[in-house]
Amino acid sequence: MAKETYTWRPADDGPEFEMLPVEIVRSEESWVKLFLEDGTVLRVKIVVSKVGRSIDKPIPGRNGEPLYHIQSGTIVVADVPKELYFTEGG
Amino acid sequence: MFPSDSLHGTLAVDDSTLYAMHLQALEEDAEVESSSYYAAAIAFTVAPRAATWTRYLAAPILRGHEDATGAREVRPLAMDAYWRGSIRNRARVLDAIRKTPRINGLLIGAQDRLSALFPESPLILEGDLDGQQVYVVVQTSLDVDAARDVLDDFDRSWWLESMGPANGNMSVVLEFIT
Repeated sequence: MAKETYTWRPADDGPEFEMLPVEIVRSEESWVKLFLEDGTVLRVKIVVSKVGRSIDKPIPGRNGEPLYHIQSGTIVVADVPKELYFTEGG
Repeated sequence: MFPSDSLHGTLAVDDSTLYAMHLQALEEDAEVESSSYYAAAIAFTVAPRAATWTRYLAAPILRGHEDATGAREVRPLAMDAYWRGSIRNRARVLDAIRKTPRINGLLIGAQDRLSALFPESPLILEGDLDGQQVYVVVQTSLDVDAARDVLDDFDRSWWLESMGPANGNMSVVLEFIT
């Protein structure tokens, strides 16, 4: 069964693209660790749930490379030093 | 160098230390005395998947040392004994484990937890091209969002707190099969 396409306009003043959903078949679920100057350690993971590829035209000026559209979220887990906690909870 | 004197009193040496010494000895081609533990070590090394009893016999040996995160250290060759899934690019996996031996303990923990969370999913070990990274591949028939929800449980219940010893050289990979 053919997949249903959708339209996407990346910029308000830019062209509209016809997008074909592309299944994710493999996803490396890696965490990035950020060490902040205040002693906090943030662990960050990007979570892509849907991907689409333009099928009617390429990225302008990119030698025919199609445009990709992703639906994603970001998970952030913070290890916060005790001294940075507020004395009263929110 | 293998300290053969230690073998005379096996009870004086804890299982994981003894096992590590046996494997060390095997790697160094040293001559060691016979014991049931030695038999287990040889079985793992020579015919790692030969018999269930081998795994059973070595189970207490593989318990290993636990550090603060619960990660356990065992020798790279022990991988064949504890890993129940298949292995892609075996040489690269071993390379990566030799570079970061504490991945061994994390693989034991990850396997237990991922098997429980993804009961229908085969687990596969895979090494990257540089022999630096070990991937635990979960082949799942769940959709992307559902699999991520399950993996989120894994991350929050264990992996985030335990991943430190891997030094960023171990990751979980979701493979979506239809």
